Amino acid sequence: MEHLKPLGLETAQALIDRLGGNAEHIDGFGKGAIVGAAGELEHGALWHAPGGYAMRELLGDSKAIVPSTKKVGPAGTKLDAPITHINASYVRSHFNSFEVYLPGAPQQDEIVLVLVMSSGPRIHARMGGLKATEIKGEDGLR
Amino acid sequence: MKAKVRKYQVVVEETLREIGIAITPPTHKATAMAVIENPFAGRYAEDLSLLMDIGAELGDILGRKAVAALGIDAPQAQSYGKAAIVGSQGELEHAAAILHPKLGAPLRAAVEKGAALVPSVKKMGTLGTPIDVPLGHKDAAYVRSHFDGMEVRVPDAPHANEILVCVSVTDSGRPLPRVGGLTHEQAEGNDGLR
Repeated sequence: MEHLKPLGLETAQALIDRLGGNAEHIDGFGKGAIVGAAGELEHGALWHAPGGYAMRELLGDSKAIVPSTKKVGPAGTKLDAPITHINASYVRSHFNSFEVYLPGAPQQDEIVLVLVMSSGPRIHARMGGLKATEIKGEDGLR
Repeated sequence: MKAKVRKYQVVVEETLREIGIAITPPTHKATAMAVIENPFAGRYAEDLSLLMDIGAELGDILGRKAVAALGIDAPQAQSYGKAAIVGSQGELEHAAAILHPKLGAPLRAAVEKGAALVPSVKKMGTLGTPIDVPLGHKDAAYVRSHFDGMEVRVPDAPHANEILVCVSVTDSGRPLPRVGGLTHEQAEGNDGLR
């Protein structure tokens, strides 16, 4: 897990850069891992701490848990990475997900590590519930 | 019942060995799925309360089906998750209407307690589209051994005017958890986090 910390920070910073460079515009995140066939599911769990804490750190000490999923699969396997609000998991307009895959990966001895960031609510969000403007931001939930 | 259900499908994954190591007792994940007609296919509707009510119905039905498939009593459920795939004539927000406002309460009744957020994903899709239902501990979201997922699909759903709704429940964490963090035994389960 320690080994992955620099990669977590590097990947998270690259994402922020690709989304315009201003971390204040990013309010959703998620993560995941796809382990190649020679590995085991638990290897994907190694990404939780370094991937999650890197994003939380670079997005201004965000309070919420980073939602995630993981699986074992061949090259080109798709993964639905869940997304929630970075400071309050229950913000209903920000429950979302992002389907991603990498052609040619993971090979048997590889792991695809996934970080996801987003800005703004779902398109046409109209389900009510806790709003991003109503967050207290203390417990990471509301 | 407001939901027009075309079919249910329940999948149970039982893991007995992982990378050569026997898993005793085996771990189990179950996903119960419903293929329903999308009442708003092909048109924009501002008010999606019908889908919210359908979410309440399916939280109950699919939650109980998943628990029954595991062969456990409700308190033995350990983690859960939910997901939906909207057929091409619908809108991503239709999945949100089913999953978020009303599905959680009856699901929590089916697994007893459920202090933690029910993790979820949603997407647009077509026949056979797979979806990864995220899994998290039902009472304490930070239990690290229970961060997981379950990939499911229904070969002939969703059609363009349908929605596939999934509820997953487990009786266990990952088969060989060993990355530390909060454990199932340590969790207090009062605030939904720890």
